[in-house]
Amino acid sequence: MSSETTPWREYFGSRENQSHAAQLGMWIFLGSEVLLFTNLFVGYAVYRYYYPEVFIEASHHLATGWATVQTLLLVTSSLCVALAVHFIRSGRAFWMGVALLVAMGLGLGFLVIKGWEYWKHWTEGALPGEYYRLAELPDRGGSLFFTLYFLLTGLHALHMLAGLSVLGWLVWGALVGRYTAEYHVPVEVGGLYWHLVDVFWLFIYPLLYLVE
Amino acid sequence: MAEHGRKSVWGYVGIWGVLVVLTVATWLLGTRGHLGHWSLPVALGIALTKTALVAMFFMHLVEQPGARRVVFPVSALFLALLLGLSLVEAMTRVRMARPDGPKALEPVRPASTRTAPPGSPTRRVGH
Repeated sequence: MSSETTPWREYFGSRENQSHAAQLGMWIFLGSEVLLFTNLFVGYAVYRYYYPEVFIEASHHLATGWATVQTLLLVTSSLCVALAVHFIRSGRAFWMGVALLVAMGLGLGFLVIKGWEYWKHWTEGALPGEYYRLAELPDRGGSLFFTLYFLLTGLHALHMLAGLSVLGWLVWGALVGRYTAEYHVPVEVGGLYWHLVDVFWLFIYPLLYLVE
Repeated sequence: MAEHGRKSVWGYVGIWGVLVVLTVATWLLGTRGHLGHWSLPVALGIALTKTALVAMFFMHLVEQPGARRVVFPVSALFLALLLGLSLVEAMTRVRMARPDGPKALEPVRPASTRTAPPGSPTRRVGH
């Protein structure tokens, strides 16, 4: 078995071992990603405990309706990725590519709305840290809320960009016929990454936009 | 990729339908519910439910054997530990006072965290 013609490696002992190892590795990476976001969630929790009134006011300042649209876009893109895995498991590479392209379109729509939100915050001065100059909210708490807002949504948007690159690479692999019903480990683990980014948003959305 | 049950597309679509309903529910409750103290637990409960659905069915955790099942819940456990203990610490701080009067032992925090006005010439960015 030469490595150029087949994705399978002899040293795993069996193909099942290789795909198990790949998936376990991905789950461990996802666990580390959870711990990365944990730090921001802890910071959010502590400062929300200190400045509850300001957080409510600042949350009312955000475009909650658009954030709900973003949530629906991401949830639907997760469905498309799950369907892509479902299709490739039965060898339908074409439909896998189509499902992933739809998921990428929805993800891009998410990022466009996010960019519009950022631009709005930029014009009104709801910026992180010392650049905060929004008159309607007090500096203390208000600037902290927007610092956390930009850290959480910014880190999430970076993960979205990485996820979009992964999905694009998978679509290209589907085009050149790299994935079959027997071998599609990259599709499984790439899909896991996209779903995890979706899961992070499921928490960021109520914590930032629905503070009551 | 051994033999797995031939699941239908409609199972995934059904999960997606539940996720959409929960999203709209959390939006309505969060904007028009006026739940007061209950709003945060309700919002987090809905988010946890949605996460469980995504992890179990979209991420196929429900069909994973062995160690792959354990990693994600363990990371959630560590998240809960760090979050919970940090919050417990923040919520149970006691403001100590000197025995000879009401003067606090801790320095009073400044009214603002700003050190310089935004856009000071020493900064590269800013307005």
